[in-house]
Amino acid sequence: MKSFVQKVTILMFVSALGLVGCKQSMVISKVDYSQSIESVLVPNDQGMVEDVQHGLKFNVKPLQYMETQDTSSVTVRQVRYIRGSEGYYYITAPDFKNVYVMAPEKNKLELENKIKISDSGIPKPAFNQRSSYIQLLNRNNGESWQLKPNGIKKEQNQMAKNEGK
Amino acid sequence: MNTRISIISLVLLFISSVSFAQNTQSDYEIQKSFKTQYKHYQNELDDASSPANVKALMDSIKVLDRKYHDHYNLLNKALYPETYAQKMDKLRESSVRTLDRLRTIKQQGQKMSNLQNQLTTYQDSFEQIRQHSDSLKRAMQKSVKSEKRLSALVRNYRKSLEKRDDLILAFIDSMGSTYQKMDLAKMQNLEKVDQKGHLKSNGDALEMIHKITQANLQTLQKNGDDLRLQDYMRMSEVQHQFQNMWNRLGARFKEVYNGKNADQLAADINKNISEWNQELSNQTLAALHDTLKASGIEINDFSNGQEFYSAVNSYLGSKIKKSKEGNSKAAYKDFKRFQQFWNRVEVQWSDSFVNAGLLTRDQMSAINGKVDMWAENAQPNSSNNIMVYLLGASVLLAVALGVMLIREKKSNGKTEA
Repeated sequence: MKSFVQKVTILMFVSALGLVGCKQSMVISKVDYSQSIESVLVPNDQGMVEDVQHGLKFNVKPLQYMETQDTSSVTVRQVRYIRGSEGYYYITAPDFKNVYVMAPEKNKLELENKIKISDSGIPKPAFNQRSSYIQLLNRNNGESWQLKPNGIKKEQNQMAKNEGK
Repeated sequence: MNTRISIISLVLLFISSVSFAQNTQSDYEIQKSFKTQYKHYQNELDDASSPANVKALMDSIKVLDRKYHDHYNLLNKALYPETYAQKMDKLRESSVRTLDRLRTIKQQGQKMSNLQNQLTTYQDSFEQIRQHSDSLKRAMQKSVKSEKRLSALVRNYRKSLEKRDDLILAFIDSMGSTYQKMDLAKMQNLEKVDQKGHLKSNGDALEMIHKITQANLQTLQKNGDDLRLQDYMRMSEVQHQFQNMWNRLGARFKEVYNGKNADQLAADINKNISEWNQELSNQTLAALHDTLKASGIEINDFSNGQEFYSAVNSYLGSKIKKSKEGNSKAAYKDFKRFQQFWNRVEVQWSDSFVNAGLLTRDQMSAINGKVDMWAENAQPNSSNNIMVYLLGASVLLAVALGVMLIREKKSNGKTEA
């Protein structure tokens, strides 16, 4: 009798495991996360920015700390970000030396890559969505770079192109 | 305004071009700059005050389109769920609508300007007649000793009042038809466009109406002794039409009026019209009484329309009764006098009698019936006279025949003898 109960128990356990193992998983592939136009946000006194249109809210202090190693007060006056087709967020701000490539996770943005632009930083940066990359633009002089999650490539600007011809 | 729009548009385009030349624009800036300029032109269209302004804006909108058309893909995304083409169409349609609206308003403004000229002419004429009437009145007061001169002055004075009433009727016709056709919604637009302009001057219409009611009331209050029944009948017609116009269009006059005291003026006009009615009714009854007395028609006293009808009814009843009993020349004269009076009432004053509340249409018909009945009996009985004449003639003929017969017998006797 005891062995029968044991057998039934084992059988039920194995069946349950089988059922769990058989749970269907679904994946939608070739998702394009690209955001058409960058968002330009102004942090509040606590460093919070909110993009109502795209439903994103975060604190800029960790980014400020990465740039200045100081979070005693919020010194970032503006944050610009754009989402690439893979889903990464490209974030920078005026005078930042880097572009931060952030991966969205549950309740957090994790640093995927930190792309250095210049030692002095760009005073007037901007992101543009392009077909296969994100364009970083220095609005002061028209310099531009092609950004991908894993690297940066300087673009030949229009003036240089014209001179080359 | 036109120049201002052109300058602002040029400055905006210049700034955006310069910034484009000096600083590379990001997609974000392109769409932001488009939205800003779009909003600017929308506001300018809302505030545009002349067709010329809108035409200048239409040109600027074309430039805007040329400038941003290459970015339509980007702008389609930025303007989602609308598209760039839809937004630009909307702006162009809005500019066409604004142009139409302002053209209509301009035409309406022209009409208002004509109306104002008309009103000024009325005001001037009204004032001239008023001054003339006043000077006649003063002259009458000075000439009480000279009967002949006084009579001439009174005649002139009454003519002057008649002219004034004609002018009021013309004013009622002109203002009435203009205000009836007036589109108040467009008028309000016009007011938005040019607050100092046409509407303020047009507000004079309410003041003019106020002035007319005041002057009419004063005329009645001060000049009762110099007026006759026919004057009151004319005044009654004017009063009736004036009150109709006020009841129909008073609210419009008030709405269009730009002054602060519109409510007070309207209340005064209502009060004046009411007093004018009462005064006119009292004086008309008194003048009617005098006219009947002067015509030798002796009817009982009356103090209102109903009493007047009863008095006339009773007068006619007794006259008809008497005429049935027998006629006299004096009774026939009575009839002729009343008939003359009544013919004038029927032909000239029937509307005024009804409007003044002296008689209703039914009462007039009843009196007509009685007058006809009196007419049948009032005529001296001519058939009786003929009988008398025939009898007389027969007697004469018989006498003549008798004489002739006697003569013939006598002559026959002589012949036989």
